[in-house]
Amino acid sequence: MSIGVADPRDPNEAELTRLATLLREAEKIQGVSLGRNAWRRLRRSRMSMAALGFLLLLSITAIFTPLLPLQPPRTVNLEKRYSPPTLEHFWEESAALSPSATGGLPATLSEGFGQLGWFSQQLLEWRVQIFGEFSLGNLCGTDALGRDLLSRVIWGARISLAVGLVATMVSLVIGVSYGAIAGYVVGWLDNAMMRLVDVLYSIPFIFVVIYIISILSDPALKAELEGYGIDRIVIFFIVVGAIYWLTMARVVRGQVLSLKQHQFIEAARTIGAGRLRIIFRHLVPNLLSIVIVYLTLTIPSVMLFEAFLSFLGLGVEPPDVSWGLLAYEGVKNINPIQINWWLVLFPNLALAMTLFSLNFLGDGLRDALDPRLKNR
Amino acid sequence: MKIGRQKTIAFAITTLFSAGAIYALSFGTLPPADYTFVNSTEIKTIDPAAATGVPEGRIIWELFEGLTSWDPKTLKTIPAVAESWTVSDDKRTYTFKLRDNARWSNGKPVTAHDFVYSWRRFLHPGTAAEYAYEMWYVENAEKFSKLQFDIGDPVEIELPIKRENGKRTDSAREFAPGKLLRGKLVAKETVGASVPTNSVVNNSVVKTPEAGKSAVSTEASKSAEGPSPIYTVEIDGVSRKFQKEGKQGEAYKWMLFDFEHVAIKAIDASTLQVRSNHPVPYFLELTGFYPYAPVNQECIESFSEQDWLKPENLVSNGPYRLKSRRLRDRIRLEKSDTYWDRDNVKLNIVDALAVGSDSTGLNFYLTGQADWIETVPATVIPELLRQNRPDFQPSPQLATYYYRLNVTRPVMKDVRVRRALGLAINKRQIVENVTQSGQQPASSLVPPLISEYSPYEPAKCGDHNPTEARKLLAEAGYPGGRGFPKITIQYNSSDMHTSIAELVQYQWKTILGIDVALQSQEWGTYLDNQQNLKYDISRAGWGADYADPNTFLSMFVTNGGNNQTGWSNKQYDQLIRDAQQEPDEKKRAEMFHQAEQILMDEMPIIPVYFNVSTEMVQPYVRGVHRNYHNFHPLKAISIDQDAKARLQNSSKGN
Amino acid sequence: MLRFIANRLIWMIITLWAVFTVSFILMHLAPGGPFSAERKLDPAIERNLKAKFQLDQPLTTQYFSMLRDYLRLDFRTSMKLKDYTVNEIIREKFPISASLGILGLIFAITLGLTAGVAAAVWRGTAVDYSLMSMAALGIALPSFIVCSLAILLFVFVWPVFPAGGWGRPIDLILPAICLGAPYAAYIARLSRTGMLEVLGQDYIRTAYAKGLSKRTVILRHALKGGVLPVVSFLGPAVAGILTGSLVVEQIFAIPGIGRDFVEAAQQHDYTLCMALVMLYTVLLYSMNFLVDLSYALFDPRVKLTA
Repeated sequence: MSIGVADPRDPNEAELTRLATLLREAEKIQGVSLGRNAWRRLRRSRMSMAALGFLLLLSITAIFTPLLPLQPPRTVNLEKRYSPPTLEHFWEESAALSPSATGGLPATLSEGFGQLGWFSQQLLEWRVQIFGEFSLGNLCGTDALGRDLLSRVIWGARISLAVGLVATMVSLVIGVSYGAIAGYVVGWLDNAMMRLVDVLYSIPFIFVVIYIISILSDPALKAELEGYGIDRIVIFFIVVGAIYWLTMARVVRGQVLSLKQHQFIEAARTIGAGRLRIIFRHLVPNLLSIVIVYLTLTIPSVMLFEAFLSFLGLGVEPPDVSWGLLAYEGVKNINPIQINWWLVLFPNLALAMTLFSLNFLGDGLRDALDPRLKNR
Repeated sequence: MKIGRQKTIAFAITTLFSAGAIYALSFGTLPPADYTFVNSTEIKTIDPAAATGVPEGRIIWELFEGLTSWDPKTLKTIPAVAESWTVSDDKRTYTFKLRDNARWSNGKPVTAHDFVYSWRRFLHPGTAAEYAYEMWYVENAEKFSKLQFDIGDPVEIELPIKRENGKRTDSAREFAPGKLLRGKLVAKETVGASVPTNSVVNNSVVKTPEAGKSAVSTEASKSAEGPSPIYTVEIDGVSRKFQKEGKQGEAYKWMLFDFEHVAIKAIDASTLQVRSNHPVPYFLELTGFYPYAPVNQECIESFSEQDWLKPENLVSNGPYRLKSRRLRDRIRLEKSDTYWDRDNVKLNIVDALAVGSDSTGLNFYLTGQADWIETVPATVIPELLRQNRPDFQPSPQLATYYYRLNVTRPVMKDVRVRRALGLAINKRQIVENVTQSGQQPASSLVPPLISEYSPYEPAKCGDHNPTEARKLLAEAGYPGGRGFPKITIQYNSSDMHTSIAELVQYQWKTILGIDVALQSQEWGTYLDNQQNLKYDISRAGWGADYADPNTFLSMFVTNGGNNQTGWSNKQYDQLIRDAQQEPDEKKRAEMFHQAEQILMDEMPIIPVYFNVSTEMVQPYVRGVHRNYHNFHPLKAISIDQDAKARLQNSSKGN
Repeated sequence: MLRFIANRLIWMIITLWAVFTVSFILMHLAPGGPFSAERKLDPAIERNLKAKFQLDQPLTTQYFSMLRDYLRLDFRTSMKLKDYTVNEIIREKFPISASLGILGLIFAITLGLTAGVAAAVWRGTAVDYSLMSMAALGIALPSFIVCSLAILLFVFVWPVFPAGGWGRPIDLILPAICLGAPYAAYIARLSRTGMLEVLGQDYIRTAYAKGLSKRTVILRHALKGGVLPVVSFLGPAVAGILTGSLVVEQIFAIPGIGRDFVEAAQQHDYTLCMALVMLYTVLLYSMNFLVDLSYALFDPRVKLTA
C-alpha cells in the first residue's frame, strides 16, 4: 500500500531511488503547516483567545473539582434554605468533612458527594489533606433544600461539559465516518446512504428523544444497562450523538466530494492505496478544520438541548446536577412574588459564558482555518 | 425575464408573509368575560360519560346537571334535577322525584327517561367509560358493562345498521344504535377448536352448552382468536342463532346482558327508581357526580361522536351552555335561559382558560387576567404565606400523598424493613420544608378530615421515630444499613416529587444508613411501572372520589387495580368486603377502622402528608367557599363590582 | 425542472412511508399506552377502551389499518382530546402556530439580516463586536430563561404587555419576539459570514470600481449572494418554527401545536402524535424543496438536477 511495499522486481528501481531522495529533500523544507498558520491567526483575535482561555480554565476546574474547597453539592441543610449570597462567612467548617474515627476519609462523604470514581475519590482525599474541614461559605447562596449553589454550579460543570463533549464526539465519530464513506463511494450506495440521512432528518428530533428515553427507562432494561455502567447520562450521550451526526454526515460528505477532486487523493489512488485507507488516512485528516468548527458550534446546541430536556423533566436525574437542571430550577424562581435572583443568575451566567466562549472560539477558528486567508 | 421572475417570487413571498401576519392579527377580540378561571391543562372531553378528571368536572358540572348536587359550602347533597327522593328501609332502593321545570337548552323537559338513556349509554361497553365502575353499585350494571351473561340470562342484541345508498334503512336518526332484540340466551357453542383463552378474557369460564348450567361468558375482544361463538337466543318463543361475524348465524353488533334487568327504571316521566347491590351510604352523593349527569338522546343520535359536543350542536340542561371552545385556549360558557334556577345564576359569561403551567397561571392571576387559579408554583408559597394574603388561604383536602413499597421485592417482604422505612421518614420536615403550604404530616391513609362527613376515625401508624427505625432495621438483619440492597424511589417528573424524594433519600441515608437512588420518569412509563410492579418504592397520591373511607381503603384489597404494591391480606379483604355490605354506619366505620389498622401495621404504603388546596381567588369574588373538593359551582359565584373597581383604582394609584 | 419535481415527490412519498413506519415502531415499543392512568382501570373497561380505538388487534393489523387511513388523509380521533378528530385539531391549531411562527420569522429575518449585514460591512469595529455579542447571547441562554425574563421585565416591572393568552394583536408581540430571538441570532451570524465571503469577491470590486455607491453595492449586488447561507438555514428553521415551540407556547399560554407535539408524545396519544410527526415531515420536506428551488433562482450557477 505504501511506497515501501512496491514490487521489488520493479524495473524502475533507479527512478524510485531518485524519488526517495527527492522526498528526503522535501522534508527539509519548512512548510507553513495549516495548523501553525491558523494558530498564528487565531492568536491575533483577542476575543477568541479570551474565549479559549476561559474554556481551558473551565475544563481544568471541572476536571479537578473535587480538589477545590467547596461544600458538598448534595448536602441538604434545611436551616439555610434560600439564603442569599454572602461574603460574611467566607470560610466555613463542614461537618460532612470531619475525618472519620479511623482517620481516613469521612464516613458520611458519599452523602454529600455521591458515589465517586477512583480519580475523584483520590482528589477528594488530597483536598481533605490540604484544606481539612474548611470549605468556602455560601458565596453564591443556597437553593430550595439549602444546598450550596457555588458548589452545585461547579460540580454541574463536570456533567454539562461531559454531556456536551461526549455527545458531540459520538456524533462526530458516526458523522465523519458515515459522511466520508458516502462522499467517497459515490453512486447508488452514496445515494442510499444520504437518503437514509434524509429520512432520519425528517423525523422530529424531540419525538425520537422522548420515545427513546421512555423505552430505555423501562426498569428491567435499565437495570440491565446499569450492569454495563450505562445510566441516564450515557443514554443521553448516545441519543444526542445519534441524532446530531446527521448534520455532520452531510457536511463531511460535501467536503469529501470536493476534496476528492484534489491531486493528492488522485496520487494516493495511483499508488494503489485502498479505499478505506484513502478515506481514513487522507480524507479525514483534511476534514479537521471543518470538524473543529462544527465541534465548537455543536457543543452549545447539545448543552441547550440538555437544558430543554430538563424543562421537560427528562434531563439529568437528581441528585446528579447539571447546568440545564440548575437553569430550570432557576426559572421557577423568576416570578413577580419572590425572585431568588442568585438561583437564576449564577447557573445561567456559567452556561451563557461557556456557550458564548464556544461560539466566539468557533467563529475565530473558522476565520483562522479559512485556507483563502492563508499567509494573511 | 430573469429579473422579472425573481421579482415575482420576492413579491409572492412578501405577500405570503403579510397574509400570515394579517391572519395572525385577525383573531378578533372576544368581549371580556364576567369571571375567568384557570382550569389547568386542556380538558380531554366535555362528554360526562367519557370524562375522568377534576378540570373536566368543572366544565361538565356547569353544562349538565345531575339528579343531585353538592352544597358549595358544606358539600352536603342537595336537590338538583331531582326535587326530592326517598330511600327504602333496606337502604337499597332509591326513588327520585324529578322537578317539572327542569329543561334542556332546546326547551324540552328533562325526564326520567333521559336518565335511563344516559345511564345506559354511560354503562354501555361501546362508550368505554373509564368511570363506569362508579355505577356498578346498581344491580346488574356491572354485568351489562362487562359483557357478562350466563346461559339462561336475558340478553339484548343490537343488530348492525343496514344502509342503502348511504342512508339508513330504518327510520332512526343517523347515529342512533341499530335495532335491539331482547331474548333469553339458551345455548352457546364455540366454533372450531379455538376456545378464547382465559388469560385474555377476565373471569370467563367458557363451557359447551351441554355442560353449561352456570357458564359465565364474556363477549370480549377476540378478533385475533378465530371465529366468534354461536349463540342461540330465544326471542318471542323462537330460537335464533347469532354469530358476531354473521357467518353461521345472524350478524350482530353487541350482545349484552339485557338492560331491562339493570335496576334503573323510569316509573313515569318524573319518577326514577334505582336499586343497588348493597347499601351504599354515599349513593346520593354519587348521583351528583358528573358521570351521572343526563345527556340528550336526540342530540347524540343526530350528530357524530365528536360533533354533538360542538358548541353549535350541544344540547345541555345545566346552568350554563357552551358558547365557544378554542383548544388549549379557553372554553366560554354562557348563562342558560332555559335553566330552571336561572334567576339565581349571576354570572353571564364565564371563561375557563387552559393554561398548562402553574407559573403562567400565577402571572395571569397577578395581572388580573384570571379571577381564580387552582394552584401556585411551589417556590412562591413561603412568600405568599409570609404576606398572609387574604386571597391565599390553603385549606385541607381529602387527599393523601404516600409512598408505595413493592412488597414483592425480597428486601421489602420483611414487615420490619417496611416499618423501619416508614418510621425513618421525618414527615414534619417534609411538610415544613418542601411542600410548605400547611399540609399535615400523615400517619394514616384516610385523612382525619373525613370525620366531618362520616363517623369514621382513621387508624394511625407510628410517628417519626429514628431509634425504633434503626432497631427494626437491625432486627431485620441490616444493622446500620449494612448489607441493604440498593433500592430506587420512582416518581413522575415534577419538582415537588423530586424535592420530596431528595429529602427522603437524605433522611434514609442519615438515619438508616441506606443508599437509595432516585428515578424521575415520564408519565406513561411511570404509570406502566406502577401497574406492573416494576419499581422498589414509588410516590403515589389519592384524592377521594366521595367523602367515605371506602374510596381510600378499597384500593388495597388483594389484586385491587390500584393496589399496585403486591400486598395481600385475607383479613383485610374480608373486613373491606363486610364493611361494604354493612348497613349500620357505626359498625361499618369500625370495620373500616380495623382494616386500616392492619394496613398501617403491615405498611405496604407509607403515608406522607395530607394535601391542601393552594387555590387563589381574587378578593372581589363572592361565593367561592373553601372545601375539600375545590368544588366551586358558578351558580354560587358573583362579582362584587365595587370591590373590583376599588382594587383596580388602588393598583393604578401605585 | 419537471423531472426534478417528480423525483422529489417520489422521494417524499418514500420518506413519508419510512417515517411513518419508524414512528409506529417507536411508539409501540415504548412501555405504557394511551390509557395508562394513575387510577388503574378495571380490565373490562380497559378492554372496552382498547376495542374502541382498535388497540386490541395485532400490531401488524393496526399498522396496515392506520396506514390505510393515512392514505385517505383520515387521521382518526385523538385518543386524549376525545372531542376532536386529529384533522380538526390540526386545522384549528396549526394556523395559530404558523401565524405566530411567521411573525417570529419576520422579526428574526429583519433583525438578523440587518445586524448580520451591518456587522459584515463594519467588520472588526465596535459595531461588529457588539452586534455579534448580542447574537451570541441570543443562542447562549435556554429559551425558557429568555421567556421568563421577558415576562418579568415587560409584564411586571414595566407593564406594557399581557402575561399571555391569544386573540388580541398585543398578545402576540412578546411571544413572537421570544420565539424569533434565537433565530435572529443565527441569521445574524450566518448572514455576516455570507456577506464577508461575497464582499471579498471580484464582482463586488468591479462594482466599486464602476463608481457605485457603497449603499448600492451592498444592497443591490452583495446582499443577493450574501443571504444564500441564510436561505438554506431557513428551510429546516421554517418547518421547526411553524410547528410551534413548546417552551414559548407553554409559558405564554398560546394554543399552538407545539404543546400538543410534546404532550401527545408523552401521553402516548398515538393518533395525534403520528399525525403531527407526519405534518412536520411534510413541512420539512417542502421547505427543503423550496430552498433548493430558491437556490437556483438566487444563484445562476446552480442547476436543478434530479
